[in-house]
Amino acid sequence: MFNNQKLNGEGLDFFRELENIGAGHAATALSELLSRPVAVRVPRAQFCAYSEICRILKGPENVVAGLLVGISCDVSGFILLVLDEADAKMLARAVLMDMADQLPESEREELCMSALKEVANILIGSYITAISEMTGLKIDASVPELVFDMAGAVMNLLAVAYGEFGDQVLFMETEFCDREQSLLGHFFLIPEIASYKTLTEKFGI
Amino acid sequence: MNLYTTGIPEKRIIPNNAALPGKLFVIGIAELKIVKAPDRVSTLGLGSCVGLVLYDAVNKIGGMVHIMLPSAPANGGAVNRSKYADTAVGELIRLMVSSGAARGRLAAKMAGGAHMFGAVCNGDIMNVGERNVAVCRRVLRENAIAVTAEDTGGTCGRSIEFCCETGRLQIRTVSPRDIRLI
Repeated sequence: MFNNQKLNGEGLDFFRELENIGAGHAATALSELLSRPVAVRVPRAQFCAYSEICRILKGPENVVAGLLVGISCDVSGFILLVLDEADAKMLARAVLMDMADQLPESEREELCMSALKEVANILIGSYITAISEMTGLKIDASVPELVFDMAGAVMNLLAVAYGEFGDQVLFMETEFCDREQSLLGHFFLIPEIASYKTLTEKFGI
Repeated sequence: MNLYTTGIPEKRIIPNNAALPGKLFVIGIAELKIVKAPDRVSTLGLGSCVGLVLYDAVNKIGGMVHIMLPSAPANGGAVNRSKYADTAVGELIRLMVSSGAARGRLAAKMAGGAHMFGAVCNGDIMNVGERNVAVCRRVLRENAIAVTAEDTGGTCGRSIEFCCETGRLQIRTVSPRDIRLI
């Protein structure tokens, strides 16, 4: 299991490094997708209580977009990306530009949802690449699943995954911005019990 | 959910209960609270977690627990009994009775236990909602307490609020946007 004390020292440094590399890859991918420069700001990795996470996400009833990818191979578990509802909508519009304007409502919705899933794939993929680069572990990712729901309900997955070992959750926050807009992404790494050991050994914690 | 419209994001569902008499207590994950009429007790954003309510309709005493996992770790030790379905039901019964509720009159209502990310995989973590509900039902049956209403399973998050005066449980969801009473 993640050791709380170690994590606040050298372990957290490892995650900060991971965050930097992952966010760098993600920003590059996002600029290519949007055909304009995207910068990354103040990446932070931190360990905090589950109740604190809900507060950061503006309360358990706040509507968020939760994008979940299953990971397998050397490490199994999940990576969850949580975006504020408004940020997710902005991202879908930015990716689609005027492509969806002429479409009927129902098709437009569908197109927006797949655009978001595609972006999630790219962003989460950037972090997976970073983990692989730093640890030499091989990680495969599943097709992402997207839900819009209350933050509390989306975060239940984390509470359950971490619940057996205490109420501390590790998360990485990344802000992407261009000249006009900024977007806050919350990445959660949720390894399955058997993969904790593999990861912590590789992370040297 | 309209992803495409610009402007202010849709407002979250605001409980229209502000005018009701009594106080509203909001409990968090793995917490438990007993209230008496005219007060209400609520918990927000249930996903795979289960909100279980026991009620004595004559004394108008109600209790709610926000359950997170099906069973407490086998090695025992000091655990938060409100966190696990197999210990939380007994804990709620005990506290209801010590607060003046009649053991034989207790009835249950429950909500939650959703499957938030059904498509990604079906491992142990993913069907925890279903297992939470199953353990609650089993322990309630063992204690001869009837479930008079429930809104469980599915794929959407729920906020719930129990009113001790009326004995009704209000359920709010955001996708689809809805408020209902059970």
